[in-house]
Amino acid sequence: MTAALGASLPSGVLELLVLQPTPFCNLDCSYCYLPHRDDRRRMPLDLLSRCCERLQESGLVGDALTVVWHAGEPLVVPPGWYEEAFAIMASGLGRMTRLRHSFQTNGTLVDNRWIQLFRDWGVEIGVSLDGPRSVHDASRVGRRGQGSFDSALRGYVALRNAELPVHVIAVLTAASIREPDALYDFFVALEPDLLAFNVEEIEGPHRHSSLEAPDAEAAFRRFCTRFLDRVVEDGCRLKVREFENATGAILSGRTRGNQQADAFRIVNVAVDGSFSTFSPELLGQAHPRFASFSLGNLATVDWGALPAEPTFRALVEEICRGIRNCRRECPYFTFCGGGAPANKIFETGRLDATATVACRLGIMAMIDTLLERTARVRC
Amino acid sequence: MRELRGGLSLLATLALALEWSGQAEAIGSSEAPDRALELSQRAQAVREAWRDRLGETAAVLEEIMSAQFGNFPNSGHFRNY
Repeated sequence: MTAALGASLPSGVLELLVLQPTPFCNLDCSYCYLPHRDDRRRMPLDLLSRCCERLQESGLVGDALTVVWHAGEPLVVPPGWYEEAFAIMASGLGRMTRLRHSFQTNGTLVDNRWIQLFRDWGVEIGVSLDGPRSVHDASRVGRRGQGSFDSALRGYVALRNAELPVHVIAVLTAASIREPDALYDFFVALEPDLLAFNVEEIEGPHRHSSLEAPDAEAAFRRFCTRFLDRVVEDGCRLKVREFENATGAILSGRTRGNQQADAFRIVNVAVDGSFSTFSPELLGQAHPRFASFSLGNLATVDWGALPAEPTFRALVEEICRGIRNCRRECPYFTFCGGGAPANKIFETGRLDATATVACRLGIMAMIDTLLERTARVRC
Repeated sequence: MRELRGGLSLLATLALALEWSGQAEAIGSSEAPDRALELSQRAQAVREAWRDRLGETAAVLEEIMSAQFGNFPNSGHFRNY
């Protein structure tokens, strides 16, 4: 049941563990939501070890657990650190669940050492690439403002040539959605396992999105329609996460679950061990009512006391109310499950809000596009 | 079905089963009194047509969807991560 919790923790629900090996990023992208990307600290391995022990004790861990190394550029920490980190996790958590490691990286630092690590440990990799050079370099820039396209593409190609599993995440902006054909031609040539679109979101220090503009939604819908047509006309060679999700939501006929609104399906751990649940983008952000959204330090957490902790209770109650409001008010609830708490609070200041810009673009426009393009059924 | 289990594209199955159309003749929309019902009717019509066209394959796909996508679907990599 969404977000609801009794006096104890739910059992075996943890699906995604987001670990921040460092807050630092070697890039300074214009839409970045991470508040501490100048911070060069690295997560101490003994801290990681203690965090894993607490998770083992928690009862939260089920049969399978995806670990995503993110919330900063993970590849600024050397491969040797991950060798030790993976070994620590394998010796503890790895004995009670199937661990799958995944990196979300800007790709600029990939070299043969990383490829060897990824191969040795069966790591899945997501590379952030926004499109052709003019699109990518408009936002994804280094500390001196230089474009990162060449180095990111070089990294992606090295991973692809090594036949490692690679997906691409592309952020869509008001500028990039004007170029659906250029984006399609670029991405289909890359042959990623999956292409994922993130709309430019209002989150943390990134307080405005280019997609807030009054005409942006119509332009976004035109982009979706054109991109979808290109995908289908091309025999669906390019697998797009948003189209897969929307198709699945339509074909399933069931109300979609909401991983970000259910407590402890996601646990996010910062470089210093402070941790949160719900949307990963909440971790480390400042908020007048919820402070940093942290539930304490994972290395020293008292699981028994956590369900009664006031910040946690307040988060649960407001998120639950938001889901109920979505169910009551939003015609797309079945396809969505109630939206992302991070989008709600960063766009409106409340977790019990309903439709956000991110909803209108990422959910509603996608569902409408699919339904419109399948409007005439040949039976 | 092993190939589908490895790299299932739901969109591909939908495109195989249904005519792809840019025309605005929306199924199930004309008599719907509200947007939620309209969406529900459209989705139901797409679902039924998909099942009709794919027959037994649709049943297998539904089983795969249930296992692979669970209670819907991150495809392993949701949003920013």
